Amino acid sequence: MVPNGAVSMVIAPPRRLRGRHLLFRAIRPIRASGLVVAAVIVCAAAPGFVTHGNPNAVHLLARFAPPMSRTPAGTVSLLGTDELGRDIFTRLVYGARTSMLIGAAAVLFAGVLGTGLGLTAAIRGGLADSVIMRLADMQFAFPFILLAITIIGIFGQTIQNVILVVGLSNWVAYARIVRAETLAVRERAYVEAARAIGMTLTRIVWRHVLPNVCASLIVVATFGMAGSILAEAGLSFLGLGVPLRIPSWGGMLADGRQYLDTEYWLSFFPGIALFITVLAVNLLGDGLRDALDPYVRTRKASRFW
Amino acid sequence: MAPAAASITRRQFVTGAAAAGLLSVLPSAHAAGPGPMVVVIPGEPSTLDWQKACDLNTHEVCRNIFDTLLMRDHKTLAFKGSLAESWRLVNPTTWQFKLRRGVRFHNGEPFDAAAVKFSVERMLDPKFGSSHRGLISDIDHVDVVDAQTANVVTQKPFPLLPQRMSSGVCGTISMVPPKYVADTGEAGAAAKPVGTGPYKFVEWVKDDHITLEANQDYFLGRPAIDRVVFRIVPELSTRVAAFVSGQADLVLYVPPDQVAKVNASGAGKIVVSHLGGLVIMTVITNYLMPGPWEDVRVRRAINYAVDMDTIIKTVLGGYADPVGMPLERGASGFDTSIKFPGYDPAQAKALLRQAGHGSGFGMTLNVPNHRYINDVEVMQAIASMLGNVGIQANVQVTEQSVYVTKWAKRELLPAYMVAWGGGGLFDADLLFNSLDSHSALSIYKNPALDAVLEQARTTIDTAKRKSLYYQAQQIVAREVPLIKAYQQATIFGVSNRLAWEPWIDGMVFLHDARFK
Repeated sequence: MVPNGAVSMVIAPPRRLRGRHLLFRAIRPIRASGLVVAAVIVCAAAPGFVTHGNPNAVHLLARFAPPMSRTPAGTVSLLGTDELGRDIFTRLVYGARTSMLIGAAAVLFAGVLGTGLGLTAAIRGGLADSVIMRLADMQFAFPFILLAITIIGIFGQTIQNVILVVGLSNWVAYARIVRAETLAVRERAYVEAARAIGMTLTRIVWRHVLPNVCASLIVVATFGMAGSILAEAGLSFLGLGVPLRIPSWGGMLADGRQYLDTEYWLSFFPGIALFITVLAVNLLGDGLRDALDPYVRTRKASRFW
Repeated sequence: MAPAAASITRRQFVTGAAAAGLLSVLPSAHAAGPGPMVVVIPGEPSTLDWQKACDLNTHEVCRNIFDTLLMRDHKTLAFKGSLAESWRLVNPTTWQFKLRRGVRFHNGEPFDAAAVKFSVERMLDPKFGSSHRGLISDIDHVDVVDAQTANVVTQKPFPLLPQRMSSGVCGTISMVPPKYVADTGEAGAAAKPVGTGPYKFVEWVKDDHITLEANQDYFLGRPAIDRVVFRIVPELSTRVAAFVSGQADLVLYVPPDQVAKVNASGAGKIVVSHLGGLVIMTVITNYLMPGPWEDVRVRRAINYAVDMDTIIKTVLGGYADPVGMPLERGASGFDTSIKFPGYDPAQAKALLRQAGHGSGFGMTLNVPNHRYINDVEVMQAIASMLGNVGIQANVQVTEQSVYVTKWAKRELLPAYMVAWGGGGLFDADLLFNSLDSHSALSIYKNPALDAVLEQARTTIDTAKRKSLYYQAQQIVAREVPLIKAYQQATIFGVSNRLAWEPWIDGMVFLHDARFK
């Protein structure tokens, strides 16, 4: 899942991007989507601040209350209740935490793993390179759901395993980018010079390779985040995701599926939440890429978002 | 020069051929009959050899292809003859069956005592590997007295033989034609079944449908409907949609939440059978996993904490019977005066404090992924009620196939949801499978209960058996090795043009189905 923009960045000449430079050029194109993502992050980080309810509180006598209706307890249920009487809005807010947490963790895991493997492949070369690249090809070819069923089935259904599964299906993009950049940098004259004066490999990687791939990796990470959120929702929908006691948008979609034509709100609102979040994260990635990619930036005028 | 008028141009030829092709696929007009009766079932039968398997999908189809020696009366649940005319006990280990005359299998083979001997002994053969075998292994062999008389000899007194000779789900002895089975072999008999039943096998298109046609010579009278098609539709909402759109005449096991939709659709009506449904229970171990649940006060507290009546009213839409004891309503030996703990959260908390667990504890509740009606929702409701008294219950949902494997290995600890019963047993012997420690699947051990249950299994005298089961139920109500059981009602959707009532055991027997 390497977007075209990121690939074009790899063949650009190496540029050192200083911190504030990066931030300045990133802010402008990403207003609206950034706001949405910020809202979701607030829900994820401090759900108790957004809603007072308990996402797992079962109220059997208040099942299937429609949105904006009064529950037997006297309160108004914003988005209705589900088949066990749990408040949909509260579960939506707590579900944001699941999506964000797993999305971020999976991307972090994939990024670290992919970067490490990419560096190893490029620096060691030879057999290590071949093995890692063939692993990457195999990973690309392996169907995600099959991998999920295998790992979750063998190692059990926990959050850690879900992060593992989603991360394992994502590391290839990072590995390829880092490997390509490292191979390119390795041949440069200044690297030869650095090695001549005794600079260690680590310092070379740190000072010359990583800053150049940083921008690409951030863009890939953002798109990867969107994909991971969707992947986690898909796994929870199939019953392979997070355990039942943790609210998850995908799980809510699955629960409401059989009631779609009568009590639509069980699935409708988590579906909307997923849609908006993934769209916002994708647009954020788009905006970041526009801000960071020198070729695109010069061609396009700055856009609204 | 103009082309010769007599020859056909290429364009005319192609147009003509297309028209001919189109006409050939149009259905030819003929006097249309009412069409076959369509039953939608949730899954593919594992086989159509009723002697081999006892999964529910196999049962629904095979019930109409094969017969048994006995059956239950439609109104009173008492046993009466089916393929057998009468039966009696010659001695405690020998049952004599007098067979009906003039019955033939669908392929013309005569039904006689030799067929009975062949059928029973085929199911007892370990090499054949029947899933029913565990429940009928007390039978030793069959003696052919004469063509219409067969003696079934058991290893020890077997009071459940009449049950096994009538059509339940698992543990049912059905009659098969010896010559046909010997000639076609196991695979042939499984793919093209031949029995004595009201319907004959026509075809089986895998993953799609099974077609049966009426047996004109059926000994109870020719069925009113000529053809029956069992359509295999795994997805629940698709089954209900097929019924609502008029494509299906009979839909089985409608979940309570869909009842309103079916009633509102006008495509048919809901028919509920309160007998013969599955008894759902959450069994708790007292020895396979160390923990607070080993203390009977904790188990009683768990039962006091759960408001099963509200769960039935809400999650199950009222379509369940809160039996409490893991027995079916109508089971012989079921003493409904023996009560389980009711709903009393204060008492639950008091008992937990007495047992030294006033601050609560954690436990895992295992449930399969939608194997039973609303099972996950029921378990979540139970977990939340346990949470109200301080017990942190973790609901562990497992995929059905994995669940069944773990269940067989007794790895679903310390508590798991399971269904027993249904399918016409109607006997307190059900307690044996779920709670006797010698049963391969039980996770509860109580020597006093074992002794009573095992003695009842070999007692033919009905009064003595009843008193033994009374003692057993008292032990179960005192020791509560489970969370209150409930019996599901079986809900069917019956289309407007179909007149059919479920058989008294809640099963799908189509002999007396007819179109209005």
